[in-house]
Amino acid sequence: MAPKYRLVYFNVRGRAELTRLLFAAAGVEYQDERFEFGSEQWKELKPKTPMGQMPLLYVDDVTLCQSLTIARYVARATGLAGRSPLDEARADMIVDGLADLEKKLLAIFNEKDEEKKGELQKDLAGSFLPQFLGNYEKLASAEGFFIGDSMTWADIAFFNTLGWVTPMDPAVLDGFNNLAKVVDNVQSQPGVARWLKERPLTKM
Amino acid sequence: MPSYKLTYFNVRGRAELIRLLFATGGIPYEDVRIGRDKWPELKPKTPMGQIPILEVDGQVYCQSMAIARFVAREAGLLGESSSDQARADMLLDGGAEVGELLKEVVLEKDASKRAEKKKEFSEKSLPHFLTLYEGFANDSGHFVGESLTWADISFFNMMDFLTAEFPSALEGYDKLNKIIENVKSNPGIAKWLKERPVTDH
Repeated sequence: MAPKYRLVYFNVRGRAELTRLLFAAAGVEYQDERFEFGSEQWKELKPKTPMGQMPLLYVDDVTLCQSLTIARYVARATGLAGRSPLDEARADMIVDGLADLEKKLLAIFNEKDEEKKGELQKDLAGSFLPQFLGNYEKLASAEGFFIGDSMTWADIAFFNTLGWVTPMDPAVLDGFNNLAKVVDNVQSQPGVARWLKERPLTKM
Repeated sequence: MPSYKLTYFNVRGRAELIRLLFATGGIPYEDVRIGRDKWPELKPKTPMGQIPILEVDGQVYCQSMAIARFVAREAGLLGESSSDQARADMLLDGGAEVGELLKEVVLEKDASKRAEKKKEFSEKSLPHFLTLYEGFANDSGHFVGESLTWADISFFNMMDFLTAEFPSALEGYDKLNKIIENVKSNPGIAKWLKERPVTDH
């Protein structure tokens, strides 16, 4: 019998969106439970969770927290993790590397001082991103895959993270043809394409 | 058997978990340690400008946790079922969060800020973490199932760093102490702990 998945998070993309995209790409049904910030439901649930954090994935009698653990679990369960131990290691490497970019994005998002925010954005666009994307361009194939010749969660994770950069800088992938192909492959994958049309529009 | 070559600085740092896992699995590997002066030359040849890197039959992998997970699998230390493996991942990720907080304490240059951060860490974050993880550990001294997994080894490694700053941190945490004992008494690890280069971090 197919497992029942329940994903619990705030009503934002944030740290749950990668998992939502994986379910969508794999065409696997799940309950997409969302709490508003400051909700009573979360306050009540929090002490009953493994580490007092979201997102959470409930699968049959297993409760998981930690967003990348959840995403990796779903990737493995849906055949999107990579087809061999070395492929899985490569995918893990790609996904883990994205955390460096996400940290910078989070710092920008959380910065209240407009001047400091502008400085961080300039540093991101002028120095961090060209280097980062340069590295990732070499890791992606001309066909638009990070691992082998088919889509894995590494491609989807890259697409997801880039979704936080493109509002600031729509032309960010200019000159990075392999990465542009990765993004194109992911967003045109039927399950993902449908999700992108249907998903709630949220600020982050 | 594939050839494994690990490259990092001559410290424990982000490579030590990997070294511990190779040791537990009895898997031979080349433990390359470079001087800081050699790094600028190597950096552009790495996938993301960082080390550690692991070369497996010529293919280069980076990101310490990705490498560690691969070696854990090769050494049979990942966890048996997919939910066991996810439990191990989850506990490791939670530990890494606290590891980042510890790093912030240790790397703080300003003496008074450092003292403040150290106090906050030892009074709030650390006891919270240890109490939580005492709850995750079972009576036999394992985090996942009834046998050693990389979750236990990672915790041991983290405590190795942590007790340098907070020597009595684990007092009273019986199950966590059992985990440490189980890890230390694993033959491969015991041998490595005796033989490994002594470095300050």
